[in-house]
Amino acid sequence: MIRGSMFGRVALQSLVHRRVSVLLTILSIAVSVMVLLGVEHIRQEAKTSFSKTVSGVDIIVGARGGDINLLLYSVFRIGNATNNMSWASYQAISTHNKVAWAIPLSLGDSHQGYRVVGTTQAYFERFQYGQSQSLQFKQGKPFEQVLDVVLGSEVAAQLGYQLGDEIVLAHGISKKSFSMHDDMPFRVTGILAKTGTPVDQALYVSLAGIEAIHLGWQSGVRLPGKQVDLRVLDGDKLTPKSITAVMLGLTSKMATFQVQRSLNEYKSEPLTAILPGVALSQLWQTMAILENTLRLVSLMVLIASLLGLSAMLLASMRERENELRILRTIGAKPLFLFGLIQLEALLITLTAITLAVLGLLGLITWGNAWLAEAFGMTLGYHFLTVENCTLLGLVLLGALLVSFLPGLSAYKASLGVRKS
Amino acid sequence: MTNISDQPALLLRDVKFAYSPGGRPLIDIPFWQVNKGERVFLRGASGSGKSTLLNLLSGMLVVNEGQLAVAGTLLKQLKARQRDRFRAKHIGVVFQQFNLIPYLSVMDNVLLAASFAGGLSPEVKQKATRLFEQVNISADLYQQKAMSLSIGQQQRVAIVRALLNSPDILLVDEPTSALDADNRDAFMALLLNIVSEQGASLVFVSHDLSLASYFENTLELDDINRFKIRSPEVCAEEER
Repeated sequence: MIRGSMFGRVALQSLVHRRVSVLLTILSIAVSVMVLLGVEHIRQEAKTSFSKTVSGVDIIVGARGGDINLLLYSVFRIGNATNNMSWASYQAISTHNKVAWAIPLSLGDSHQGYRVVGTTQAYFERFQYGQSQSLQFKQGKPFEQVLDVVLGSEVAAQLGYQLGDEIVLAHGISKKSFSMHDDMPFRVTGILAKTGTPVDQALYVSLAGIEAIHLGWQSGVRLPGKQVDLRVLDGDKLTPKSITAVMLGLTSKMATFQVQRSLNEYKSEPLTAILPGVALSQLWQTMAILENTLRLVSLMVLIASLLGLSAMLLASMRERENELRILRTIGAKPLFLFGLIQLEALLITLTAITLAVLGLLGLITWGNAWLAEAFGMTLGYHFLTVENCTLLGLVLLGALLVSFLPGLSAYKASLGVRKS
Repeated sequence: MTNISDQPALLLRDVKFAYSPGGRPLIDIPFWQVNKGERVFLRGASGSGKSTLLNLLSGMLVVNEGQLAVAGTLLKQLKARQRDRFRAKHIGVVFQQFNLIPYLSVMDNVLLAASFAGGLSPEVKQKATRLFEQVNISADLYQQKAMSLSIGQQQRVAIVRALLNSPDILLVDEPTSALDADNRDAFMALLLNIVSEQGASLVFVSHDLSLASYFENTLELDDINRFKIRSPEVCAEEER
């Protein structure tokens, strides 16, 4: 007991004595552990965050195209649809006897860089995220009039909009759009509660609203002299010709594959139907190479810094020759010296890991503000999962392994066996 | 079992040692004895096998042939870890310089030796304090790092550490070579005083014959060691 505390004290004092090189080694290991832990954490968080984004939607249908592309633009609002599907197809699909509900999506306009989604009230009633959580209104209610708009929580917070404010939508999804639908301002009727998904990053209007602002437009350009008078708009003119995609809920999960197949073989128009979960796992597969490359790089960085630890300890052996001789003279076993070096490596690595964990906590806090704005997702703080703790355990084991060489050098030097 | 206290502090019989097996022995001592409580001045020039002999006496090296007993215990018969323990308990060593671990406090340096000898007790601390007083190391130095002390102070702390476990024999290797004349005389007086009070035997190794006046017995290493040819290789071996 007393002996143990003396052992620890010698190791600790010895590290304090060589504090500059020890501190640099600690920092180098801390940074590499932070990178490793950070990559793992972001990887795990991205997966859970992505899979949290949509729930309860059985099938997503769009014009013929790539599965992943359809998933990305319909759910994550990343990229664009190359084609639309016809309104007739939507009507046929939504009234299919195996389809319980349908959420049409009409994309392509924006407001200050936030995307505008044309949809129906079904979006607020049926769309779910996380563990089957429905959308909630923080303020106001769904759109009723043609020129009503509902805001995602992030849009309202970032742009500082209140209920009743009037806003102008832009044509296209660029933040610097020059084609403004400024003849028809929309009025804010509702603001959604925060979800932590891309839902927060969009504005929602009725399909009729999307049609209304494009009246008098052709190929993305407003035709001169064609002023539209809202008062003469009737429901017929505002029925869309096409939409971008549709999300479906089925009456029975058992029918999922059957419905998907019949949609993929749809006669009157080429369509693509995907299962969100399956498309998501396809997405992960395409990401796997990137993921593994990141992991490999962070692992290499870690190995490099552990080798640095070994080199630092080994280099210190020379200046510690006297110290080792003294310890032997007062009765230290060679194993004590070996253990001393190992303990020092352990203390260095433990300190570095603690620093890395604190650093990552700080980095998450600092980075979340930006992540929320850019991607509508934030990182959780729970990165000390069983998996990651095992990883940290392996780092400690690695430290012991690489300090074996300096430990052995101390052991040998202390044996007093000199080779001639 | 023979009572250890009746045994001579050191007994060497037909001791031979060479660094390389089969090589010419650097140490070849037919007989040498140091009695309990005896204080011996051993004069040897560098290259005479001085350091090697001290390493053999302290059990850091083991003889190739013959018998080497410290306080009646044959070191060769002990297992390596027993020998380490034996050294901690029964043999005190003071080197020329670099006797202390620079980054530990004065007190920790001394107590570390006690912990290797079998444990720290309040009595050990009391004894350390008493010894510190005897060698004029004041209490305000206890918690200072060893490297902040003067060489003279460090050598005195080294004596305390070497004597703390009440060793049977104290081996001292040129402890005054880094001290000036005044400090040297003070150090010698202090050393002999404290050694006789502790009842330990003393082997004092030096090339400086002027120190021999402090001792009742003076020996030439060359007189007990049959190996006398000082080839450059041997000198180099010794220096290492």
